[in-house]
Amino acid sequence: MSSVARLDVSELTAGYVAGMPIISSIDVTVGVGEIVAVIGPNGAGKSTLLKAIAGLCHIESGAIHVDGTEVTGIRTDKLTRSGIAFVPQIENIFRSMTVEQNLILAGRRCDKQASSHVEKMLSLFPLLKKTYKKRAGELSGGQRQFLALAMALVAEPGLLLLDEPTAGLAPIAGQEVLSILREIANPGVGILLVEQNAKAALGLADRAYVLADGHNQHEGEARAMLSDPVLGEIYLGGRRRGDHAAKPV
Amino acid sequence: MLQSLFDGILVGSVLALGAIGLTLIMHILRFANFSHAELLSLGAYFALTFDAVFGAVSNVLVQKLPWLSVTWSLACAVLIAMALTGATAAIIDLLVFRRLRRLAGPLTMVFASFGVSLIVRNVIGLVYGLRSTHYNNDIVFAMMISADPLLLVKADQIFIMCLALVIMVALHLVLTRTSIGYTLLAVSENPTLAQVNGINLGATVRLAWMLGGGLAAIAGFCYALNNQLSPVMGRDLVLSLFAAAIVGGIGSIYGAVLGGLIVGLASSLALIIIPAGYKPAIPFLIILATLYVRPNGLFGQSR
Repeated sequence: MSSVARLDVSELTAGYVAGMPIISSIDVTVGVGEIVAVIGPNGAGKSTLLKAIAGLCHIESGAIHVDGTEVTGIRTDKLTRSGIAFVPQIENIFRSMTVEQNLILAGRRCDKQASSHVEKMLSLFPLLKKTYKKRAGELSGGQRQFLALAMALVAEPGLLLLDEPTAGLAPIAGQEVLSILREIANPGVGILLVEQNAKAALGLADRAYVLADGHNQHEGEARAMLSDPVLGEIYLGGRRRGDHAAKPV
Repeated sequence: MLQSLFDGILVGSVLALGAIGLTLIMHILRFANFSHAELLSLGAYFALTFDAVFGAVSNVLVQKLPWLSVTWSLACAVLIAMALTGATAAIIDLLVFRRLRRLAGPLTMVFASFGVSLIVRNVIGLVYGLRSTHYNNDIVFAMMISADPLLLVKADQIFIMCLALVIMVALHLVLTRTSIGYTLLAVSENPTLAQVNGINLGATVRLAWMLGGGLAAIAGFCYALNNQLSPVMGRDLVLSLFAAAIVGGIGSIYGAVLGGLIVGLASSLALIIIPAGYKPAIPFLIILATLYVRPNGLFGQSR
């Protein structure tokens, strides 16, 4: 296990083009072995937040610390080699390569014992054993997500950034993917999870942030948010009441 | 017919080697690099230069390889030419394209590549002269393996096909068995995901330029061995190289190999039914037909 574990994002303003931020002054923390969900409506900037942390966006201001060390603006490949794994929402596997090649390639970023880590992943995701020599492009949606997760975990990261891992999956496959996240977090891996299925994400997470229009709108215990009637109405599919505006953080 | 098939495979092998670097760079950096064909000329002329140097240094190296018109000095010179052309490709990227990637869009890079190709072509003309030349004056008397009037084959041509085959097999082994190969495949398929998986994009792009340049040098040498060296050989080949890359699917290394063979065969077989003067139009027709029927090529993916 990598020593990297705790993530502190403070006052982060970032976007894809300089001068046009998508997220503004975002604060997020993820502790050791903690699952933190980021929920919010479409276009809230959830995926941009993850990409900014992963070094794939233009950062205007703010700071990102991992275990107290500032990693703001560090090149993505260096960041991921230091123990942070990012699973993009789409195009998160190399379709032209076999499952084996995908895992070996992803395992290269940890150390020289990549093959033993690959074995671990095959025991964590037994489905991948059966498809080991298959081209990743031939896998089903669920199998692809498991492969993407295995690619992220094969380097034994301390922190996992997950961008909508259940997007496009059948409900059962989505549930399977989410259920394995707790297993992943137990040994101490922190998980920052962006998820459209807010109820499922809050049911799984320890804490959560609600993003809207690129700003932090709420933060707190996930289960408390799940039972909050105001949040439920605004963000979790309940009926919207005009006079119940979300309280800023 | 048999002769056309043979000639088509021969030309296709050369095109395949040249198209691999083109398709890699086009896919990774997302611009059509029209200067890639000039790397073939550059490689061929580097080989000519070092052939003369090695020949002057040692009499032993002037000996010809059995059956072939290729001397030992030329064989050694090709290795040097590969390294130098690869390095030149990386330097061109460093001086021209890398800066434009940051400051301008893909269209600017396409125009810049036209500029680079003109510069390289004219520098070659300035240094070596505008006249066509050969590696070896004996080349026109190269031994015929088959004197059958239906199939005229030179030993040099068999050598070119075998060399191309060996390089393609070696490339396949590198791509499928080594971590460098996985890295190249990963970056050519999805540069962002490659970075997420710990791959240094800048270093891999440099590697792709060097690999593409090295392969272009061999392609240029093979083309010149079968035809002649000329400062405009890049200009003559550019459309065929693009046709090979587009038919195979931009980004697909195996597609480029197959695309090269298809373009070579089509250009050669077309001569059976159309006059030779229309031959340059064949790659253009192939590009149009491919884009119309299968816009992503045979192995390409939509992006």
